[in-house]
Amino acid sequence: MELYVFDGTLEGILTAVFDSYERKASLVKLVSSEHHLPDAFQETFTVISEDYKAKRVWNGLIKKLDKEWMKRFYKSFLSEQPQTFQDLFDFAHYIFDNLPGAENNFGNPVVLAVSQMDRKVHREKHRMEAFIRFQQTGDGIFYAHIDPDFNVLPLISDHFRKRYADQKWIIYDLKRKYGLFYDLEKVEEITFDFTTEMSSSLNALPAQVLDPKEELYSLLWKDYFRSTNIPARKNMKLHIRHVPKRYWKYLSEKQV
Amino acid sequence: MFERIREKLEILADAAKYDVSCSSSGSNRKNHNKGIGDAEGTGICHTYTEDGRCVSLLKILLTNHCIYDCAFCVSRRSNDIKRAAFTVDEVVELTMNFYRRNYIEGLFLSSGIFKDGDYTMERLLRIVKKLRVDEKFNGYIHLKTIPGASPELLHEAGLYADRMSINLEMPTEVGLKLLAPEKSHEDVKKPLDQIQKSIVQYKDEKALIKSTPKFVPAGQSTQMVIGATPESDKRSCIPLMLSTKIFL
Ligand code: SF4
Repeated sequence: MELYVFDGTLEGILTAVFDSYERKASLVKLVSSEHHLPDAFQETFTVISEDYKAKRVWNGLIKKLDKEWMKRFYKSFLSEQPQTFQDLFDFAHYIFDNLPGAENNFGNPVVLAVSQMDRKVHREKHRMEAFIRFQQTGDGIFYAHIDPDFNVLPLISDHFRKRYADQKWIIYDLKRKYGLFYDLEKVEEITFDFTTEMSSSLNALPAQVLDPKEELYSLLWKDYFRSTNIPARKNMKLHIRHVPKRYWKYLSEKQV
Repeated sequence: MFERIREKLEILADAAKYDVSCSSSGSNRKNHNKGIGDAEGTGICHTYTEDGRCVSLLKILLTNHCIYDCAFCVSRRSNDIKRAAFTVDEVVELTMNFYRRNYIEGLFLSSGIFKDGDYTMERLLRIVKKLRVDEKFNGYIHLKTIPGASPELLHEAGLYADRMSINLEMPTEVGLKLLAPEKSHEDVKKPLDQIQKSIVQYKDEKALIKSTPKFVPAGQSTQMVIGATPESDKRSCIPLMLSTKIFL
């Protein structure tokens, strides 16, 4: 068993796959440097991400997998889960070492793990598309911040760009400390230096930076949400299944 | 100033909430004019009520004033309730501001009848037109049309709405006379025929002209209330979607 330490990027995983073939490694344990606890007795190999290696592996996968599977591979990676890094590494090996069609063998634990993680990331993407609530700032930007379970910003970018083509917006991931900014032309990655810790609850922007109408509309929305309820049919169990509690902080209608 | 609009919304959302139809799917409207929104594929549930129902549309009445007295309707003339009416601009602004904040997928608009059918329909038409033309709104719009309104108004509204439907309170003439003496069955049926005709007409036109406007992309639906008249099937007041879905 060899221990490979990589930088946590997709290029890193792909480079690790390349290196492992070159080094004829049999069993590899892949950890990101973030999760790696140095151990004096364990020999480690440090993976240095390299573009051409990553591309070779990626193109190799494209030859054997259809578009859907390539997306799955990418989406699972965005889960950022240590186990998933390992699964993706093993999955790539499994695909290269077997005849075409191996990806449909859900009896194989890594095939199953990768596709299950893809589902989870996909669900989180959908939740963000539904639950994000923008606040309009005084300078006309629609702002929302989130701290999703997985790194879904790259996945939701298109949806918001298409839908809100005529308004500037920012969606900021507090956990991963970067955001997307749409300036009416293109979406760009941005980072902020918050002087104070931002609260992850929704109505986090201070009143003085908001558009004067913001308060009214969030109030009207809360009113509207309340009015759609039919109290006689209240069913909180069902409600929580649709909107798990950890998402309530996003929903302005849930803030008191 | 907040209070008046809050009160209106409270009254007019409440009056609309027992309406059965709830869908923002089946439409395929892409954002093609760099305006705002798209109503592609199935609608997103932006939130859920505490009884677990999906909330994806702002569902309101333009007004709950009504000159008629249909027995099942909370807005009926003889019912002693608070009344309110939005202005055209208020509905447009509310829709746009909710949409821009990612609260909703679109608008589900219906109305009581004040003055007469055309007067009311004309206002509904102004709202959808303003949304589509002035605001370049590409989100979902479901419009409940007004019995007795003129075919021209209905046709035009159909060019802007994703879905049109009509309240047919009673399935038959007798039932209608009993419960809403002022409305004749013909009045109620007319708009529906009109939508159907327009769709047929649209199909014909399409054969000749490449880009005729979409007339009601998601089809139309009719809502009936069964159970109050002698012809009832014993269940009491079950709204039935008598869907005359005509997909293009
Ligand atoms: S016409 Fe429509 S709004 Fe008026 S009472 Fe009848 S059902 Fe209600």
